[in-house]
Amino acid sequence: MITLKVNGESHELDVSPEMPLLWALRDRLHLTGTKFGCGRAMCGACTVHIDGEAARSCSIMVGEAAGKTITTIEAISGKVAEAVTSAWQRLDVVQCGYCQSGQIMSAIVLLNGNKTPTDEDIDLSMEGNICRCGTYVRIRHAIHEAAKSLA
Amino acid sequence: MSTSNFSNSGAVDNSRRDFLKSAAAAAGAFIIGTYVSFPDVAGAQGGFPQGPYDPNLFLRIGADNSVTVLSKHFEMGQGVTTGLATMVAEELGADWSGVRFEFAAADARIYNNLLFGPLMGTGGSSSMAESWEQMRKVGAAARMMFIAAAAAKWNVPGSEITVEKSVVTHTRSGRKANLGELAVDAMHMPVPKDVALKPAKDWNLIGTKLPRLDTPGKTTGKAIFALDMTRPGMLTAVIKRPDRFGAKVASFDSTETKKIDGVVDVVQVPAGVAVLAKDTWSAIRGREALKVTWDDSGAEKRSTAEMLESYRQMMKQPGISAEGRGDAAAGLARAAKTVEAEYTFPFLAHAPMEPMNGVIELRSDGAEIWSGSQLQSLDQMVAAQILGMKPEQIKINTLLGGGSFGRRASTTADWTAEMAQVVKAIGGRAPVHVVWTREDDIRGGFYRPMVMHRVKAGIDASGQISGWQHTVVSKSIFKGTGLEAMAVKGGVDNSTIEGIADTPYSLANLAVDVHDAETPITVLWFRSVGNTHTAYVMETMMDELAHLAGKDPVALRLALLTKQPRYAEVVRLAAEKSGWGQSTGSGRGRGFAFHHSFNTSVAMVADVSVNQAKLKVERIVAAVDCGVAIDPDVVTAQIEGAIGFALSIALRNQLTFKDGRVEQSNFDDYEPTRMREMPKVEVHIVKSTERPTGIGEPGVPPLAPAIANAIAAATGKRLRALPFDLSAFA
Amino acid sequence: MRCGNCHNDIGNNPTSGTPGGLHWQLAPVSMLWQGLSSADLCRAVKDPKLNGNRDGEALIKHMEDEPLVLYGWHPGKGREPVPIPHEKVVEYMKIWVAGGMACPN
Repeated sequence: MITLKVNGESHELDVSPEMPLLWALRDRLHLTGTKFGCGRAMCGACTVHIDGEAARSCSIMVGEAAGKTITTIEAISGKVAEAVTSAWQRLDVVQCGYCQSGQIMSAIVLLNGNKTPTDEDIDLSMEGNICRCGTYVRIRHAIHEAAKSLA
Repeated sequence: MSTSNFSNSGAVDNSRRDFLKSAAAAAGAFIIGTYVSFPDVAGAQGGFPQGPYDPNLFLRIGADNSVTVLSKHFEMGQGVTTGLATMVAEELGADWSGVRFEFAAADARIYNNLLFGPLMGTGGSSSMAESWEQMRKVGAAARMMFIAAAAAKWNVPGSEITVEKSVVTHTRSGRKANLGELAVDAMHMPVPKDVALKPAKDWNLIGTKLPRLDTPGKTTGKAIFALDMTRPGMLTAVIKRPDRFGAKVASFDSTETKKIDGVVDVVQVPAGVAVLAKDTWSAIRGREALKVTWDDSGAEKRSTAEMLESYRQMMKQPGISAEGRGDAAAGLARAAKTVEAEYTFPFLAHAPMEPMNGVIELRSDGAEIWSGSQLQSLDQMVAAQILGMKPEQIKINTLLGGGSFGRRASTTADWTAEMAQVVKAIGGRAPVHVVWTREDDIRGGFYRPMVMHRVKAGIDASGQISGWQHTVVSKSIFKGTGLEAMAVKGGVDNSTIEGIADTPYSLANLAVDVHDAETPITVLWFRSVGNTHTAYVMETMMDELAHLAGKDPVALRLALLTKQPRYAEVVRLAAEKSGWGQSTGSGRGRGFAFHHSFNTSVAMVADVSVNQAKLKVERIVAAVDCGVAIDPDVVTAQIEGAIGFALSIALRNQLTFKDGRVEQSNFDDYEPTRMREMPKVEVHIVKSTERPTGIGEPGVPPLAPAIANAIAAATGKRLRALPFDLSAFA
Repeated sequence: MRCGNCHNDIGNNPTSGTPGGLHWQLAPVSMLWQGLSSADLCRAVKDPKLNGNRDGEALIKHMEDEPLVLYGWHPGKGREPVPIPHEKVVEYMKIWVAGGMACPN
């Protein structure tokens, strides 16, 4: 049995320790806000927070994640999360929206650690999150806007 | 409040009668990719195709005063649900903050795409264009019905009643009621036969930036895509498909697969061998342990180089001629200078972020599907055929799509067919979720075809283009499909040559011929279809000819667009806003491209910096004329997005074949554009009162040629293949 | 992003193909051995300023026990392991250390 602490709740799962956290979240806990895009940590659609850091849940196994603090898009909270979500909404960043959970999760970690990110900081931190609809112009703008609102 | 029950009232029958009349007239006028421009449609059929506008079919007013618009179109990120709702809300007088959307039932009798004939579907950048009158009439009719209901209730003249911000007011007395309070009465009023629409000067929603209706769900993880669907007792299925197109299952061994925890069944279907499991991970692991041997006898076994060589061989003979202009051969014969060039374009995968997938549940009297369905009518027909049912027995719940770029509309409903095949193979004993992994997606076919062009163009002594001979080799997208009759004319698939044969440039002498490449590799329309390659050839060749003639590339376009003032305006606007003509400095180049597709004109000016083999696209300035921009912010987003989407196509994307097998498999070797590569983007929209045309696709075609022309300006080198090969620059 | 945000301490991820092992990290730049001649490589391995301040015994222990080194023999799906058996490498290292850690010229 593996115990996962997700969004403040403990869950006992009878699963192999090798199961990617992504599938435990989606198929066992029905938290479908975290998405499957590539299964190989290349696209960032599966990004969650583990102990406050941006992790690719398709790549982290449940055996690894056991006992750590896991937060998904459904349970983000706090000033930074509010600033990011609010900027995303004001600027209508989304198109198909499938990558945006991961984008938001990555952006929150960036702003948690750096309240005044430069364009280069954004390039580096958001490198792992692919958007096929090409919303990058607005993602960048939203991160700057969120940073301004947190200043 | 809403009802899709036709027997309700005579008024419903009126609009239904009109609909059936136009559907019959429109059958056979299926236009995907809108190969016929709107003036032709209007002329040919005596008016734009009409559709039903009974508000009960498209609107639901809640007791809480919410206004839910039922969208007949599929939302894949292009903003269509916001656009449709805007048109309805404008005419109704709804408060935008209370407007919502839901997807309409899959029923072509009510929800057909008016430009597609009797088919429900989204594509060809046609949604706003086809529903421009219809959706506004829905709102206007609803407004009249609310006024009538209030007038009856309050015993006052309707002329004294207004509807604004979802509140109905009798102006003289000040008496008010909101839409929710009057809805039951209003929605049962007779649907008016004559509906007047607001003049543009009275618009307060159309033409403004409105908060997208799908933003809240998509920024909180709440939005549901097909991959997120579950049904009680559902099994997840992944299919092992052949690694060569045209191969079939010879035999399979599921011994190891069945040992995997969670695997429930393994069944053969026409698409391959399906592994069914209790959850996605078990299915994926189960498939990995599956052994399949293939019958390759009918499969494509060639490599990319061999296929391209076969294209060159085909070009040695004349192809099938498309409709041309004047006498290209004579024009070339008297040319003072000529340019001849070959261009190649690789197979491309749509690679939407959400891989193909869908849920199907079989019942005794029908089947129910949950999927990101883009061509509902075709999906229904194909699923019905496989299940031995009638199309109307297949209920499709359309869900949000995690991108499509054309993939979710399939000429053969391939991925929907798989759902039907698998659930049928297990006797319908459980609902089935067929899921494609990213590898399945990259290797699963339905690609933008590999295409080769050969152009010979000449300019006369005065620098005029005297002749243009153009040959294209490509597998046809439409031939051999149920939609063939619609896009193939005189043996030529229009989608192969759109943007060439119908170029708006006044080319007096133009000859176009086509060769159909044969291969089992499956192909499909890919965001802007033929324009993905034709625009590149047209616009880079135009640039070359301009330089050859000593003319400014923008001036050359303007000289060729004197008969098209709207298109010329777009050219001018992009040039002006980009500072065209000003020096860009060394190591930098500025290039121009213009393309008209899906009835919309887009011009782009690209600024690049080139340092040996290192290319950076610094800025794109775009101008667009799409008629009335229902929401200019959505239009801007579509152009920005098209640039982000198309950039990696220019820089690196290609699917290559070795011995018939695709060499790429995931985002490492088929890498989309990344944040750091995105240029600065400026979008300028021509203010227009013309009817809206498309915006989902038109931003794609001009990007690559604008960049190529900028590279040529910086380095003097011409790139005649995509993706760019800059190794010669190093 | 930290290495551990994708790479698992508990080992390779067979589903995503992500390699893993305890202390997953890139080696420091001082241990950039690719392209070195055998002679230069030998000198780099035994230099405490470049090898993480290790003497002979510590080098043997490192080759024997360090999870990140052992990874080389269990690299995960789609990767080839080190072509020489692990026991052999340890044996050769012990011989080399016992012999005074001589290097070619």
